[in-house]
Amino acid sequence: MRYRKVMSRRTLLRGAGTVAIGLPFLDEMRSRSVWAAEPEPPARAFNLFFGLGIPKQIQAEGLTGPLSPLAAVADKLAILRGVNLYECDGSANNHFDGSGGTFTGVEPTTVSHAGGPSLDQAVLNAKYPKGPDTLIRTLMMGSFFRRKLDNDLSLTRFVHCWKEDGSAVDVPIETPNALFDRVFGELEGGADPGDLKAKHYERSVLDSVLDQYTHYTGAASPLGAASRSKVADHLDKVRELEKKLFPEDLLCDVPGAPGMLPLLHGQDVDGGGGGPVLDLDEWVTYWQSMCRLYAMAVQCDATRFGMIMFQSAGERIQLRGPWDYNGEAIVFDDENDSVGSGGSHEYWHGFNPSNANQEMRWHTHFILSQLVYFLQLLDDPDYADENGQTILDNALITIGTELGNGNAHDLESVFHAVSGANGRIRTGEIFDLDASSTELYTTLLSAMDIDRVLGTASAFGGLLDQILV
Amino acid sequence: MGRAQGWILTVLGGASMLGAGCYSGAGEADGLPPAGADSGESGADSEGEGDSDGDPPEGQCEGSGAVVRRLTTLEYAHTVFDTLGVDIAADAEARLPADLRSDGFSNQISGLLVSFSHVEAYRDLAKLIVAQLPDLPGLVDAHTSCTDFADGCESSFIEGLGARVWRRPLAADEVASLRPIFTAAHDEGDDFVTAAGLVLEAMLQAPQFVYRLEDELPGSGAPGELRVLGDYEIASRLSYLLWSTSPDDVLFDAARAGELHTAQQIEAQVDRMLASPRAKDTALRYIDDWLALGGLPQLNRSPELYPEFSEALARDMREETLRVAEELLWEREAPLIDLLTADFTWASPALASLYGIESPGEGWQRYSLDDVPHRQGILTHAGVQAINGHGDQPSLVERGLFILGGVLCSSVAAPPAELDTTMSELETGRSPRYYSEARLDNATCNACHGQFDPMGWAFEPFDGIGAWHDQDIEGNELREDGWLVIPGSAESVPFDTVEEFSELLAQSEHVAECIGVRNPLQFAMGRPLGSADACAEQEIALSAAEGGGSYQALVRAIATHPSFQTIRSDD
Repeated sequence: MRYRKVMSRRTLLRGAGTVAIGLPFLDEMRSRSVWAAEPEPPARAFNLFFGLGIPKQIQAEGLTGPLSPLAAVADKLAILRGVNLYECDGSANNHFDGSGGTFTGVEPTTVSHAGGPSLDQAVLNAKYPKGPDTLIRTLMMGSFFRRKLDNDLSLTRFVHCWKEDGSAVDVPIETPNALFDRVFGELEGGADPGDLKAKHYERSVLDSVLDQYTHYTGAASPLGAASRSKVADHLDKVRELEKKLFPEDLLCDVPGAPGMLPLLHGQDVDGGGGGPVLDLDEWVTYWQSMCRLYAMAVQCDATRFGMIMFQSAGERIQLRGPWDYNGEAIVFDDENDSVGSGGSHEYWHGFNPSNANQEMRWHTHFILSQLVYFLQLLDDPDYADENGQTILDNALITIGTELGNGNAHDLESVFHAVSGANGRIRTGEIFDLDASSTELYTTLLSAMDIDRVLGTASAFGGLLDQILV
Repeated sequence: MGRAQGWILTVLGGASMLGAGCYSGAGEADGLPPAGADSGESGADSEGEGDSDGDPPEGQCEGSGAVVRRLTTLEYAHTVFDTLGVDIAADAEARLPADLRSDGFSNQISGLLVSFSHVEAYRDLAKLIVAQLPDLPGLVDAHTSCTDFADGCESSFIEGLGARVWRRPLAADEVASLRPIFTAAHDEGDDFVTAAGLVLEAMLQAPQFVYRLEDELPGSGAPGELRVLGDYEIASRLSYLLWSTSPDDVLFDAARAGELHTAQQIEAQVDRMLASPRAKDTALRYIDDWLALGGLPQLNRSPELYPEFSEALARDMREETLRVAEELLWEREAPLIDLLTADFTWASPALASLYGIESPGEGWQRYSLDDVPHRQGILTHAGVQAINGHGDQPSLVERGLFILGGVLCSSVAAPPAELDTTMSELETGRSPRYYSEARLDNATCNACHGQFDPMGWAFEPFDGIGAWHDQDIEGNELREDGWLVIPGSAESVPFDTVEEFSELLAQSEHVAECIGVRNPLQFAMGRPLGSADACAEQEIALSAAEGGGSYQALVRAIATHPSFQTIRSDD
């Protein structure tokens, strides 16, 4: 049973180890707390993205082989084959069109700007017109390395939360420490709560700052819509600052901070050439610690919207290390493989339905297993909502990717899957749809009682009733 | 050392790049807005700012797409220093997330996102700035003649300081929104000066400081209508365009007197400001950003393949290009396109060694390139080759794409749908050009690669750190011949050497427009040019050409074009 807890935020449980995360509630704390029961689960929507795609021929094999990790959560997902992103195909390389079109249903305006809002933001704006009453409006996380086009960042590679005007909500957090700080970190420089004068001044300054941002986003603002939207982003973050400085509904137990994990991210990693050489175990440790932190943020109701990404669009890595591929012990050795040393996505470039495509299958299996790890965290019954169902059951979690066939760089049958949204979507089934992404996303919104076409109007031919309960 | 020189060193020290300000919007096609056109600024209870004498100008050169820009990290630091005398650059660099490189530059609206880390940082920096003020009591005295907790004293202080910090006079409700801070301090038994510090903390986090706010809706409030900017707004556009900072006293005085809206008035300010080293800093920062040289200090290269490479050498590479740009653009006021054929360079001893030039062994020297093979113009600079090589084994595709985008202002269309990108088995161990030519033999690959691969061929002999080799490590002969296709032209023009290639580019009007107008205009505007900007761009290009095609002529052309004084939201 989940409740919004009201307890001292200073009740910290610092883990002793390097990665001591995921501490359970303690019954003695529960008994001392004041509880406010929620009548039904809050609306939540998350975009779960993975790079490179799965060719339709592999999808057709069902939940065996490369897709077998999904079997563990198959009863909680609707597997959606035949979702085409043709309406997103524009003048850019399809990595960008596909990646920018996934979750939006629209061709991106540029390689750094989507054509419209993402699914999670569409749900957020409909369900919480004044913003969700959570600490963080939208939490974005990803483990990825490829982020550029030439010397510039290409946001459509690695951003999957887009505002109504198609601009990026933010860039994803990509280290466990930064994710911990964002969600659970105590603000440095905040006044000591015992220093009443300092807190008074902190409040007074903050109120004035909030006033200015509120004016510029309000009805009397002299700004146009696009500028108001930008300033509104800023206002959200100042409100988040306010909640952290003056916490009211406080979060649940704060976990131990992650220690330094070995994997370099961000600009320290040279994304050129074949991409970084990554040790599988290191990367999994890193990724899974991020997953646990993100899941905890959702469990603590610190956020209800966002994105989770494992590998960006066009990702290139050289993976090394042992892996269990459906009971077969294999070893990734991309560095020394003539194709893989050009980056893992060369395996996708080389996809040929007549060939074994062995390395591509292994990589796909590995990627999906990491996504499933995250999904299973949200399926923890200890954090069930009051209706007795898990967060995975109740939320709208949409899995998407960037391409269909990596060789052809096409946008046919771009793999999708979606969770049950509290009994509204038919989980436990595989659907062969031949539908547009617009039709899918519009259907998912309608499942959330949101009447809006999300995507490209000309690509909408009706709801996909077959996936709805 | 003056602060301006300090700015140069900041550039070379790897600080984040800075954007110059400009405009969005349009103006009359055939003249200036009427004198004293409606200022319409929020909060402008203006003192002689310019009376509303006529309707805003409508014309053919109408731009759109006004989107507010937040200050880049370096603009923020400069603004703090120029407004309050506090050097917060190092703290700002450390605490603010790096400005993202997007759409070709690091000052574009698409990259200037705001994360929670920004908000935290602005708060922390505001506290630091107030704590580091050289003389807070003096600042109070400068803006109010009394320090009682009373309406008159509080308001006059807020109005006085606010006009400087927020770069324009405040509206009455803005003043009122800051007065509760005085009340809080009074309640706590603290003094006026303490309250003043807290007010400044709030001002420094507010959008009026952090963003380059301009009223986008005209007096009527109708979205999408053209609006003429007020003098204070023009002051900020000028200061950020030319100096990457807030207006100085001269600009503020001109705005206050309502003497900053005619072409003559604006041009006089531009000439004054171009004479300052700050203008040169901004120009060089543009070159640095256009060529992505900021990535050089972080470049990773295999120590086995490139034992001579180091971060120090990478910094020298960056400095080489900026020194050449400084001499050409600033000392000689040459057209920007002359960068492509510069027959000289500057080099440190390590860089000279990379180029095979004999150096005196110490310090930076100027060298003629007349007798230095393979080097002429910035495209042959080691840094430009290294940053566009993308890896230990440089990619001629990436270098070709750099020419296509950065020099020809073009882009490549998407590969056709259902493209089979598998190629028949090729020999291994051949040169990059061999594989490239194989791509061009394939009709579907050629559709895209034909647009840029043959230009990348010019650079095949430059290795991953920009050194020249006649053969690669496999013993393949490396070539530098290729052909140039100007976008929109059916003709391919062959070249035999990389020097010839540079000269061909330098002779192209298309390239002159790209390098000399389009790219710097995008940098100035903070966003890519759209079709709505074409008219203004053409007029600016003409005006800049008439002025000699230099950076200075371009800045004059931008600032005196009617579109500089107008704004329109896209609603």
